[in-house]
Amino acid sequence: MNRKFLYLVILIIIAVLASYVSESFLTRRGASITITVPTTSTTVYLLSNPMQNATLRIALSTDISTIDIHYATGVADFEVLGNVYESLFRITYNGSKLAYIPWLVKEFKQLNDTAWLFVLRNGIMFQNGERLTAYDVKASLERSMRLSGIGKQLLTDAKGRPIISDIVIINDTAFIIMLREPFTPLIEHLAHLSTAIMPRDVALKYWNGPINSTQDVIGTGPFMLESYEKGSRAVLKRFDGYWGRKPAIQNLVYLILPDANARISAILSGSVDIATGVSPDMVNTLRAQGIEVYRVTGVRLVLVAINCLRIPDVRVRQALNYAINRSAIVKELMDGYAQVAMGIASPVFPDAAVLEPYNYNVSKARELIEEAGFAGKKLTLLVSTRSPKDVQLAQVVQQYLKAVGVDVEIVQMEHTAFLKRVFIDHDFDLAIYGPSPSSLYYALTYWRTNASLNGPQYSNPEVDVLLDRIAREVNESKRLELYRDVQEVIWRDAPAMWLYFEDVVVAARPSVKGLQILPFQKLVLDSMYIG
Amino acid sequence: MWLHILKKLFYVLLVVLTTTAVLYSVARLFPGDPITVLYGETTPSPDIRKLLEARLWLDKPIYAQLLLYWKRLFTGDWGVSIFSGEPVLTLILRRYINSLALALATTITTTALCVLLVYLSTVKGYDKIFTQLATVSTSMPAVLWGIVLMLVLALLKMPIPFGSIVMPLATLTIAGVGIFYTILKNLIEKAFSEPFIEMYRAVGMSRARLFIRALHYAMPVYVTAVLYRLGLIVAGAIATETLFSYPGMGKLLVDAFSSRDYPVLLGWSAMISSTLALLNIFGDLLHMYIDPRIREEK
Repeated sequence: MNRKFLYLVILIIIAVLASYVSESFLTRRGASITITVPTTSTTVYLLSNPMQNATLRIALSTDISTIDIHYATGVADFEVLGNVYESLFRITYNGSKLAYIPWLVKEFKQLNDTAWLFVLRNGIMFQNGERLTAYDVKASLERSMRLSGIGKQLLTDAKGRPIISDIVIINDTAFIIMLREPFTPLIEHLAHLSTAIMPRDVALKYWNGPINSTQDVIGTGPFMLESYEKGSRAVLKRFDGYWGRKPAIQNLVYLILPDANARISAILSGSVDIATGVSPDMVNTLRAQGIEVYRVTGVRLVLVAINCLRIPDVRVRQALNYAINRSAIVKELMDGYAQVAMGIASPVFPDAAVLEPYNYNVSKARELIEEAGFAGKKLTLLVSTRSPKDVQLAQVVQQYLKAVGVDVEIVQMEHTAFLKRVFIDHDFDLAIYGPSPSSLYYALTYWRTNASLNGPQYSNPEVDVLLDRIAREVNESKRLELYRDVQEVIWRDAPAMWLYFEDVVVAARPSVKGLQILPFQKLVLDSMYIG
Repeated sequence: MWLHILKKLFYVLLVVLTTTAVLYSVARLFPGDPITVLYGETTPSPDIRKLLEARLWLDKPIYAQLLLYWKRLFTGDWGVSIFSGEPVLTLILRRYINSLALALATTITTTALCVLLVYLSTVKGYDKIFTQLATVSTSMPAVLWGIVLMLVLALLKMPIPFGSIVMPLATLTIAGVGIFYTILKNLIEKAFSEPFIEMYRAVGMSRARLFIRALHYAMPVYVTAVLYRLGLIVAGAIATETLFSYPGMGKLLVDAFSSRDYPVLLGWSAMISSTLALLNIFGDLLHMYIDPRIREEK
């Protein structure tokens, strides 16, 4: 046996292995595989969970950015800390619409236009063994309004004043929220985790800044934060004194795996039970290997913000909307795992309006651009390098706009620098991002004059007035009408190129049963168990 | 000799001061600060921003901030991470030990493998296969080897130990063995053509013993190359660490920079610059020890 032969054999083995590996992972399989879509609506509610000592491992695509729920901004923050903390109300999803149900609150009653009475459930314990009282609620809500970026957005009015004038404590479990003015979306906003409840002494201890000790991460939720290693993992443990249905699993480990290949390999090999942030082009591969893939319509509206101070002419902004073929983008870029935007809020929100679409129309776009004297203009398009999908999208948008005579230069930026440029300095022409609101009203406040999430500095007094009227309007059908009107106005004013609502795609091993997923890419582990 | 070492230590101090200053200035001049990170797409009210700025020294000019950080570095209080609140010193030491373990283990496995392979190729004559394999090893960057390893494990349905040292160690060894094999083999071959080896051969020394002599001759250059890579891995095998979520120094740097966690960033640069500088000195001393010619010069 000569050496050349041996060497040839080794090379061949490597080549075969490499091609097998690359084929089964990196290329798409044909559509010949039958697909069954497990929907989140078909959940079997067990009377009680089989208590298991199992560990559930979940792969996340991004790290958490904080351990303070009131500072949570990213999907991962709410995913991890959402197991530790709870709010007065809770957001649920039935497979088509969101609902807001009382959670820490047993009952509530609107006393008059500006006063709401709440009564807490009995016997709720914090993870430090203390009982939940109205004092904790008062301190938590006040801290949220004071410190939390999102809390402030949820609970302040157009002039930046807090909508809550006072929280009056009646006894340990009852309190009245006094409003400055009537505010109809109050319940929805108290369901957001940015208004989560923590012990009063913790809230006061960190009155002026973020919580900076894992010891002080204390909520009323089913899991406790045991340890957190930045960039690597967060470990949570079941809280045995939890007031609600105790989770079936004992330990919850979040692994931070930013690399898409790593997440796919992790779930295929059984190193994790659940993987979030699954790229649509991997779905068929995963299913072929017996992995369950869940898909839920998302709330994240991917858009290209148009700086309204630099491009004040509404004709141009509309032209940019006509210049884009949304269904082609959804089909090609997202493999169909997105919904073309038919309005400015995801269809999962009750009362989200379906509006007259901007159909792909190059000649109309050209006409409008000519009319506005905007032809031949050069624009910069900012995109954050955090999401590879966004960078791809930028290139697609560039091509479409070139076809209507607008030259686009793509500028890629590191995420924090991007945030500063877009939301603080407002120094851009076009920028790609995707807000993920928790309620319809909140989604609309993004477009209020001077709102902190209003990157393109869009301002229309009519929108501001309509939003105020919605907040005050008690009659439901009238409110619905106003909601429709304001969505219509923003949609037509086009402070952004409205693109699509990204689907939430989550992969889970077949042994994971009873998993539910919210459109915010939040896993609900209430009735989850390992089968 | 002592003066020599003292001079070198002064040089370490200088390196630490410069690198911390440079890294901090770059981080500060880069758009966005920890408050931007904290608030994401939202913004704090002006008085809260002021409060936080004062707490993080951001209201002072950059040189004053730097002086404050320097003062802290040398008094041993490295502050706490802005985001997790963990003391920077504990955080960095933990990550540093992880990285050091990885670097040392990789160096040992790589060197052991290289010596074995070079022995087999120069003494036993399996030259061609190993040269080809070395080319395969060097043809891809470490992180791609990591991905290949991971995909193979996934295919075999074997659990991937995320967070443990095993995967990064295997990856860095596979990716490193090619280059060090080539270096060592060339050195040994050069040694074999030296007259002193000819002499040993003439007196009838076996090939295996000749190899040991040649290895001794090759060591100084090889050690310099290996120490250089060791330093790089301690500073952070960023891509490999990220891939396998191994909590080392590289991931720490990336996370600290992207979240503008200045105390951690400063701690990282102080630790790494002093390590690299000390490693440099250590390399010189080691060189002196294994190469008698240099020892005598000094």
